[in-house]
Amino acid sequence: MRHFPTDRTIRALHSRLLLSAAAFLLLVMLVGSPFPAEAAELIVPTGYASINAAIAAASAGDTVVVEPGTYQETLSLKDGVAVRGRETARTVLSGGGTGTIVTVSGSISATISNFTFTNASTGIHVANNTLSVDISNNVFSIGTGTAIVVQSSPGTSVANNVFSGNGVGVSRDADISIANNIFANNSLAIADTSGSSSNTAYNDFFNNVTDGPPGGSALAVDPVFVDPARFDFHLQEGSLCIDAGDPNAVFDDAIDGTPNDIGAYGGPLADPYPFPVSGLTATADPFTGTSIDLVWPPNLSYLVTNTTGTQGGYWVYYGHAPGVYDGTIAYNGDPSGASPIDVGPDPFFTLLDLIPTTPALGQPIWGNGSLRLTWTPSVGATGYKVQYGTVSPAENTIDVGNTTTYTLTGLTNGVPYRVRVSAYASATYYIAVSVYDGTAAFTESVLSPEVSVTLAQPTESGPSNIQVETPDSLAPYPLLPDSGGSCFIATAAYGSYEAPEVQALRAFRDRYLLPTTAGRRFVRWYYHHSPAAAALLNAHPAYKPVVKAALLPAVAAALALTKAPVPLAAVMVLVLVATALPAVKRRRAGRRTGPR
Amino acid sequence: MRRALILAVLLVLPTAAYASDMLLAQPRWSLEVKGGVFAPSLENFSGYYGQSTMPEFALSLAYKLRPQVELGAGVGASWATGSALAVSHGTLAGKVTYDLYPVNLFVLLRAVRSDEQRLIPYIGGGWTRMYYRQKVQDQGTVSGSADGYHVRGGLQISLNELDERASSSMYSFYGIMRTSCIFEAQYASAKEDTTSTDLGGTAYLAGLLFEF
Repeated sequence: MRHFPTDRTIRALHSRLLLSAAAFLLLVMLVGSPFPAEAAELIVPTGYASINAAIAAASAGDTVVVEPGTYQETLSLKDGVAVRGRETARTVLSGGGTGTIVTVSGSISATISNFTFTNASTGIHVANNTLSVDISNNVFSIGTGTAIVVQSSPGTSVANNVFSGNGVGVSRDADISIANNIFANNSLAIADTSGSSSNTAYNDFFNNVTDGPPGGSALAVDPVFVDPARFDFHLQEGSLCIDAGDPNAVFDDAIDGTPNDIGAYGGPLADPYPFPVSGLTATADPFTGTSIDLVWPPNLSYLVTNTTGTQGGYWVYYGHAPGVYDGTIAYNGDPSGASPIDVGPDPFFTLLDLIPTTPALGQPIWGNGSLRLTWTPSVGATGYKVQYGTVSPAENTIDVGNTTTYTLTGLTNGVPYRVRVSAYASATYYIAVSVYDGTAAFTESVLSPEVSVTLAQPTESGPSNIQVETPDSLAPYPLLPDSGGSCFIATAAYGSYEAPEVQALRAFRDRYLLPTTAGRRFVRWYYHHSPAAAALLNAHPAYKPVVKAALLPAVAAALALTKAPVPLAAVMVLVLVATALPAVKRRRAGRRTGPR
Repeated sequence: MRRALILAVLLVLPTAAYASDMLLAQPRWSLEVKGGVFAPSLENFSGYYGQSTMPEFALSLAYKLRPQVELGAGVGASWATGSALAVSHGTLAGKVTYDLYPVNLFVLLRAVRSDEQRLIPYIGGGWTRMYYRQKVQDQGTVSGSADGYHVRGGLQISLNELDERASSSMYSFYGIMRTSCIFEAQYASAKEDTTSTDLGGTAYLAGLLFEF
């Protein structure tokens, strides 16, 4: 006999489902999502001001990535969070002289890698930890203290680190994993109270006062660091630590796929960036005046400088402003001279022929008393000079700045002008160099500190082609006067209505002629006849100097009478009249008496 | 042109005899809105502006002294864009905008004989002041005016008889007693004093006339 659900049963079922859904939602709100969150990278200092702030914000599975810089913080690692420096050599954790930089306490799983530890009593202190703590690809050079102290934490792993210049490299009370590390120049490499070293292997011990238990497959060779004084613990060519680490493929170098290099730059987690160039010097060549000699110390990492494999090289960056490496100078006429230049493996280079290419000037576009010039951009130019004149372009020179168009104004209409342009490059250069390795990725370092150098004088290209064009005025149709009327002849002679001489004549007309009947008659007569004369003058510009000379007394009088104060103007008029009257009288007297 | 004007005068003059018969309820004002083309009298206008005419729009308002006689004023606008003569190069270059703004005071005679008259010829004329403005590329603007006269004649076609209900509504809502289409020709002459340039010309216009 089958039992069909009753309405009451169905309602009860619905109620249970609703209650379950509500409870689930409440749980999600209180506890968070039941699904695992995606691992995140927390960047210091761009995303978080301090490493501690980033660790506090991190969740299990996240990685705190610390950009290059020197950080003086006391850190406490968090369960499931990895803390990693971007570049081992340039990401420095300083203890400020005392104290412990990193503390791992209690049972957590954590990773700390790719840092340089300096100036502390203790670099890392791991205590009472039954889980795993991975310490890898770091450089410890803290002074007289102990780089790593491990107490009651058998799951700790110390791999691919460099211990150089420490009181004690690693102090342990259990048989923890210590592999692929270099202990050099320490008082005591490994202080062991466990009495067992079965997990210690493939380490190099060199020049320590006391090595401690070396473990299996140990080396005792000079690692041949590149420059320990500057914390560059990359290995030079010929170092016996190269490919000498644990041969298990899981420990191979990620950077080139070869077996593990002992030290901080080997293994799967090593940072790939070459140590940057420093000590760049730039010298202006005093003989050519157009070249700059560059020299810098070579990067001797075997991944950059070697005799058997693929070599790395250097990039030269240069430009005309600090931090702006946009130089495009033609290097020996080769456009590949644009910044940056791959100069190959040699740690020196000469920026040759820092001379802009010659621009090509197009046909100028004439305007009213103007010529609009356009030219092709020159490679390497930081500015241009325009030269123009009626007989030779060398008559006038204008520095027009870094532009490829310019309008010459104030020219005389109807007169042909000869124009050319040249390019120049600023005398001061700002230069930096980077290094790249010889791996398939050609990984590039950051730039070296910038240097600047100034040539004896700015370099200048040769002059462009010469163009000839004539500024011209436009005569609209019909040719009509302005409401006040403009001086057609003077405008034609001086090339522009805006010319000060024309303005003076106009001011004279408004002030002295228009208020009187006779003056108005003269103006009317003048405007009736002057357009034709102006057109004639524009058609024959050779007469313009003559007309200018003829107008000079009128312009001078107009200027004097309009610019001078009224009393002075009145005196000048009286003087003029007094000078003119005797002449008029003599003329009349001459008429009355007739020729003698 | 003169013959057309004489013919128009002959058409209009007889209407004076019928003036006394007109009804007292007549419109007192007339408003013209019209547009068309203006052909300047300048000889080589098309050589500089690419065409021989300019668009023109005009508006005028007149008072009816009698049904056949109006006194009024009007304004208009015409414009053209062309090139100027490059004096040294002897070529056309640059951009020139040439604007004319005629202001007219006029007397107008309409040959009105009855209220139901559909076709009404008209003539008129008067004083003109022609304002001008010339803008030359990179050279600035000149402006001024010239005085002269104008005459015009045309035909007015009453629209009231086409739709009496519409015309009734026009009167009810706006007080417009008669709406007409107008077609007219206008001749103007305005010589600029200093250059003797005649800024006038002949215009052919069409538009609407509202009498109220």
